[in-house]
Amino acid sequence: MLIDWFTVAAQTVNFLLLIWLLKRFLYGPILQAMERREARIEGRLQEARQEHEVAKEEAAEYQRLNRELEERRTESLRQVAEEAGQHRQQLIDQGRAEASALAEAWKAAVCRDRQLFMADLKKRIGSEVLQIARKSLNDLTGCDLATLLAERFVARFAALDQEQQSSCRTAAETSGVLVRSAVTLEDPIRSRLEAGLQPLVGPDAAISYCIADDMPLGIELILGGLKLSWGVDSYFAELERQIDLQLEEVDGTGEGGGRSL
Amino acid sequence: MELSPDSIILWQAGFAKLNLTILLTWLNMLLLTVGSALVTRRLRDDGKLSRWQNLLEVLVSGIEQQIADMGLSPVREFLPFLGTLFIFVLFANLLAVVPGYRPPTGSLSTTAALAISVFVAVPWWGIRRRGWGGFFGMYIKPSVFLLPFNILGERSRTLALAVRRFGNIMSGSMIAGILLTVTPLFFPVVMQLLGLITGVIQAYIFAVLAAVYIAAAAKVQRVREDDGQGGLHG
Repeated sequence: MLIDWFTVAAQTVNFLLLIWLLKRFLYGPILQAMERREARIEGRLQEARQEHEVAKEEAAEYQRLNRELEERRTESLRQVAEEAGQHRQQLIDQGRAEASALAEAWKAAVCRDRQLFMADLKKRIGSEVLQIARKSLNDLTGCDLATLLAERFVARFAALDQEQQSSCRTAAETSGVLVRSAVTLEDPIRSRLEAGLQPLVGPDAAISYCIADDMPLGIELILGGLKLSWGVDSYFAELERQIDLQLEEVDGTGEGGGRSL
Repeated sequence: MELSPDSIILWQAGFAKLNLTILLTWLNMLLLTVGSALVTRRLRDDGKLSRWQNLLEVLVSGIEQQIADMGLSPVREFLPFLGTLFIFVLFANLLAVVPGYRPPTGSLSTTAALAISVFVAVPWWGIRRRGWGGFFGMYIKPSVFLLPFNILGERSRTLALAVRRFGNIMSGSMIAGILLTVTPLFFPVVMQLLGLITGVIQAYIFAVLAAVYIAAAAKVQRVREDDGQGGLHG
């Protein structure tokens, strides 16, 4: 008999037992290990996908920031250029204002210097002319210029009309008479002058004298608020006017050809 | 010369006895269980795998793939039965190259036991999947007159499975024994190599046939994932 039924039963049991043993020691552990590994690989793939997504987002964010930075940079450059232009214009305006102020100050200084110069010139010319005239008159005619001037002045004073003489008298009685002259008047001249004036201003009027440095030649009579002058001031005024005209012509020529701002 | 290791009885007490077939089967079971336990005790699921773990993973995943190709689903439900069938037969046949070893699959009792297991497993899964009426209804299809032929075909199929296995292994061992007496030096080695190849093929065929019978009974619909076509198999 090829088939032994006890062996068949035993082998059946053995086979079922082997199924259980292999399920316990082979299939279960191996399949679990494979599942764990697949889960880990899937997890890594998922992680890699997530990291890839994160990297893409970060790249997009970086590009956006880069664009913003570039835009801000362009905007900043534009602002800086604009501010530089404004500052440049401001500096130019400031420079022009300063140059204008300097020019004005220079003009004022020139004007002041010119006035001083003219005053000095007037004094010097008056002094020189006076000396020349006095000396030449004295040498040629033996007459004293101051005496002649005083006499002429008294004569002119006496030639005033009635109303003017009345005003002068009132003023002299109130505040006295001050006689200003370019040179010191000698006593004889003073006596002659007082003798000429007293009929007009009254005997009680106090007459005082003083030297006027700014007067080149002449005599000035101050009666309170009134002033009577006899001298060369009008000639000098004409001379000064002529010189001013010449200087203005020179300034006009210089301004037309030399200004650079 | 012994036809079957069943006849070599080592111990007997009445009906119960311990013959060489049972002993060698125990030896197989011991080797398989201890070997699996040793390998699976230090399983790693990351980094570099040991070569033994690699071998077992290839084996298990290969069996899984074959079962899936048969249309049986879920695979994990059928893996212990069909996988053990394949591994037991394969291991017994491979050990045939060891001198003095008699493969237990060369015993008709062993192959009958395996065939009976398949014979029980087929209606077991058929009834679980289709119910009593669905499964036994197959025997009267396409006509009730075919009921005897269907029953006969079912039984003969089991018998053929057992005898085929027994015949292949027993004949291989017997041819090797005969050739050993005729040309004792070279030729038996070639036959042993040939026996190894046929042993592996027979183990595969046995397991695949069992899977086909179970699939036919369970009428499992298989969906081919590779080309998206579906169909009924079995």
